[in-house]
Amino acid sequence: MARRSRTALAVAGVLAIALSACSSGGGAEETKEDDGPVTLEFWAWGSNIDKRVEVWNAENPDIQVEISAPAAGNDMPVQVLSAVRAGQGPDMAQAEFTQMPTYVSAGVLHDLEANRDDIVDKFSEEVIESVSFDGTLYGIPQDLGPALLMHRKDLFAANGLEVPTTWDEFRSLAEKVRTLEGGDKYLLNFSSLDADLFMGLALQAGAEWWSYEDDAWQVNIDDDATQEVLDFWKGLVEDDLVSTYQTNSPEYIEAVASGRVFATIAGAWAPGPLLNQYPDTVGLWAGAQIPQWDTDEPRVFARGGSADVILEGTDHYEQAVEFLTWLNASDEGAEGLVEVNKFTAALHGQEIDRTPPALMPDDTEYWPTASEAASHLVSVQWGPNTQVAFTAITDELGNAIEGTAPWEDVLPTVDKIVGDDLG
Amino acid sequence: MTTTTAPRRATTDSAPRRKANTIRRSHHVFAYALIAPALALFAVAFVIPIVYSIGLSMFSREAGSGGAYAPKEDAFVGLGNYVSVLADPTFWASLQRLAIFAVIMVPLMMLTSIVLALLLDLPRVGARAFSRTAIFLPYGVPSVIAALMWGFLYVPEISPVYQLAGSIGLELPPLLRGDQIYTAIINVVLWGGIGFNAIIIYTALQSLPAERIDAARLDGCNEWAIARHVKLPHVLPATVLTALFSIIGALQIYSEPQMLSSLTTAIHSTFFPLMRVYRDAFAHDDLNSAAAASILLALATVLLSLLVLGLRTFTSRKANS
Amino acid sequence: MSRAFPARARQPRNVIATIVLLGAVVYFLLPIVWVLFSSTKTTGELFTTPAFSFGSGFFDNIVDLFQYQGGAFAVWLGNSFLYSIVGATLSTIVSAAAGYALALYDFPGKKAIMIGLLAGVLLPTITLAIPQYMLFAQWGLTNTYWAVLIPVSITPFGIYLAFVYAKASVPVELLEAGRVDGSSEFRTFSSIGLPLLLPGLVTIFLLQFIGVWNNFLLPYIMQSDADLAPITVAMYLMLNRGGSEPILYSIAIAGSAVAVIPVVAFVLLLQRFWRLDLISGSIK
Repeated sequence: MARRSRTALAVAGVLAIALSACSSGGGAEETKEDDGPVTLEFWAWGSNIDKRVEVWNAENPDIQVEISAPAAGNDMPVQVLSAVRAGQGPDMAQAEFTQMPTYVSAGVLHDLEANRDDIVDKFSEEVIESVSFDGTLYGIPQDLGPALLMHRKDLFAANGLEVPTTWDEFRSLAEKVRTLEGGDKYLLNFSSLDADLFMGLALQAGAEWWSYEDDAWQVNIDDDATQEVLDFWKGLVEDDLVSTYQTNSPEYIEAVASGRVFATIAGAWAPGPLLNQYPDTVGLWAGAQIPQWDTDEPRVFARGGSADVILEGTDHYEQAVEFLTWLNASDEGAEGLVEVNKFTAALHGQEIDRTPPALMPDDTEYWPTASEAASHLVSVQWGPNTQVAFTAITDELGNAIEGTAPWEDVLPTVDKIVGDDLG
Repeated sequence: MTTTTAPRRATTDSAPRRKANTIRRSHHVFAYALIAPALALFAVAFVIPIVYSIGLSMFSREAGSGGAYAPKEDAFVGLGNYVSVLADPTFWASLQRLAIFAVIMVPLMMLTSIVLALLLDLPRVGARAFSRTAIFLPYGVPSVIAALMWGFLYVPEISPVYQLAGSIGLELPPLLRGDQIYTAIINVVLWGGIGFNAIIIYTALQSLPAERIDAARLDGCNEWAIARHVKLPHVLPATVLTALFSIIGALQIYSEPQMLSSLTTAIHSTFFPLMRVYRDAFAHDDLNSAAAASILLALATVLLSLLVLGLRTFTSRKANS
Repeated sequence: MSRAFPARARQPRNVIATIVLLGAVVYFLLPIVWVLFSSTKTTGELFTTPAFSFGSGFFDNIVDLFQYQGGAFAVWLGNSFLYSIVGATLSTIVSAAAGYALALYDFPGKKAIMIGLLAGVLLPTITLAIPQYMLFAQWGLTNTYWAVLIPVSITPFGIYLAFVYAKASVPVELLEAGRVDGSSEFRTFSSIGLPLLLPGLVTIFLLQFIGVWNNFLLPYIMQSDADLAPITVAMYLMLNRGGSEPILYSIAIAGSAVAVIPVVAFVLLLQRFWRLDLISGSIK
């Protein structure tokens, strides 16, 4: 990483320097010295990626990769953006698909056009589209998170419940679960923290929140499709048909662990975290397709899913691209990711016959179900400020669930916050 | 430095003064040398960042040109960010919540600290050293950990507090719902802060001469009367100081609610003013707006503190007269 | 410290006061006791067994904790100690020198310095943390130990305490006497002033130690290199791992138990040195 010259600061114009540092990104690239071994810094939070890095490091003494996770989830872009602007960014980073536009519009990514041919034909067109912006390729897709209805098949069987295929059936089933013995059971939990889930649900119903027309962004969050989805969940919350704990809070985990919440909508990555979180439930879960509005034309959204990007300011673009291509786009890499339980973005990885996840050791249907879900993934154009939309949705949905603001305000408020931020 | 060998004569009126002056000036160098590290660090860690922050607050990142994902560009907006913060109803709502929180928390903090300090200071009270240590202990627990622990203790299904209350027929409200969230936040803050304040007041009590208490006791005062008429006036300055700390702490409330916010829908990202600063800076990548809001808050804190200090001067003057 | 109470041995204990006090003790110790019990539980037991019962996972939790991210927890613990000890030491030295100068010398600009430092107490740390980060980054200091150590070395409150204590405990006459003897200002400071200040400095050190130990935001913002993180940051990262990763409650709780132990030991060992009366005596 090129360190900014310290003498610059000796100048009294602290502000001017500071502000220029904000906007100018990583600074000049130094001429490469390819002779010696290089060490690449890689910020990634995904579990088990470190195991793949170990394999690479053992085979490539000249290109060593150092992996660390200074933040995760929604905290990650902040860490990356400030580090890159300060001239101290990593060479590579893992980015959720929804975070890609934030990075691109912050101007911190190195484009991958020079290596386009080695990358694109390993992935589906839709996936490549989700890492391309203004026609430029910026990321190498790693894993996908097609949404599945993960449910407790033991509890479903014991209570004579059937997996719902439509949202109408889903509501009836939610009503039925509430009438079960004890009166404290819920089919599903609806958390305002899962802003990406709400965004996905709207997407499934046909919403298009961002569109770019005539050189300007249009924000269309307060639209009919989203309103329909919101009304559906409003009904479930108000009629007490879903629980409203915050995801991953102690009360939520207690509720799932004690069998009071029967299902969750999660990405194909779900078995790993579920096993860690509820180690006593091995063999009790199953994956199914999420409910549909129109079963003739199934639409599936993604929960999570990530790509790896190269940051502006790296001195080792060539080596970074070599590593990331191996990790995600090569056949060997895809097989390795499958081994560490990823649902790969690479087509090769999706076609491998794989053993069932440890959470459901006898369930040979799990991965085929995930693959089918992936085949119905709808493509989406994320706006440059998905992060702003996430916090706004979490806030406003939270207020509505809490009763401190009316449900009617949710979409207009989010629409305004996201629109103002772009304008 | 100039006249260190000045003649030591004190025959006229002016000579001692001149002597004092010279000595003082020759010691300026040493005094400045002693204070120089503090000033240098103060400049680096406080002054320059504040100036920088003021600069940041006058810029804004506007949509860039050249494509849908073109990087944003800096633009000078003067006081524009301040205007939009002040015009934002969520900013005022967060101040209102802060006021509610502070008005409940600070008196509770003071009252509990004083009562505990007086109890610790009573004669013949048992387990004094143990109690003092136990009360102080939470002060050393990081708020990340405090929020984690209380986060579990707030869940009715698994909390021993709820179970105990339930076993004696008492139904506690869920603290992570609705307005009870104030209770939840205030409890974590009190838990971590009472120890510090109580110990300060307690040590102030310890400096009260025993004769004053003995005299009061000989006059027939009971412990309550002694507490009220002898001890409390004695610890008033310490109490005012801890009140000031509590108020400053209340205005800067941030980490406890931030850590609790992932457990409840009752705390959103602009619940308290500094949480909004955090959101702007970290979730929205809008340092400019964050800088403007935090400068407004710093100004408000300074003003309020001056007010409290003024009040103290006023009361102490009244007490002296 | 302790006052003699007349006839304390002959009179019975004050039962009501003791009971109220012990009630308070239960409240203050409850979460800490809870975390100690919970650290013995597996993830499953944590949510299904009574709070104050022992689980079967203590050993596994501790092993998991110290194996987490390739043994990083020991590094984080070491970092916390490093930041706390070095930071508190530096800030105590800086505070002692500045407080001594402000209390015992008269020099131009003194009043302005006092006011400036006091205003520093009032600034929210989060307000400073962001610009501090951006400046430190330009100076090449982020992702070094200095990024945390420099800001915590200057505590206006510590200077204020040293000032108050120096005023109360170092008689100006001693300094004058030293001058008459021809001893240098520095000698007077180091051989007369500092020893007198020592009890107050211990208090400043202890307060600052706990302050740095508990600091989260500053290291979180300054250090993206996990090798430089203290345990507060590590705990936060364990509890905020994004939607697709499990939240590591059992490890985090074991980590909390381990992180609380040094503070408990610290308070227990060193509380006899507290001179908090210097805080309370500060307003006269």
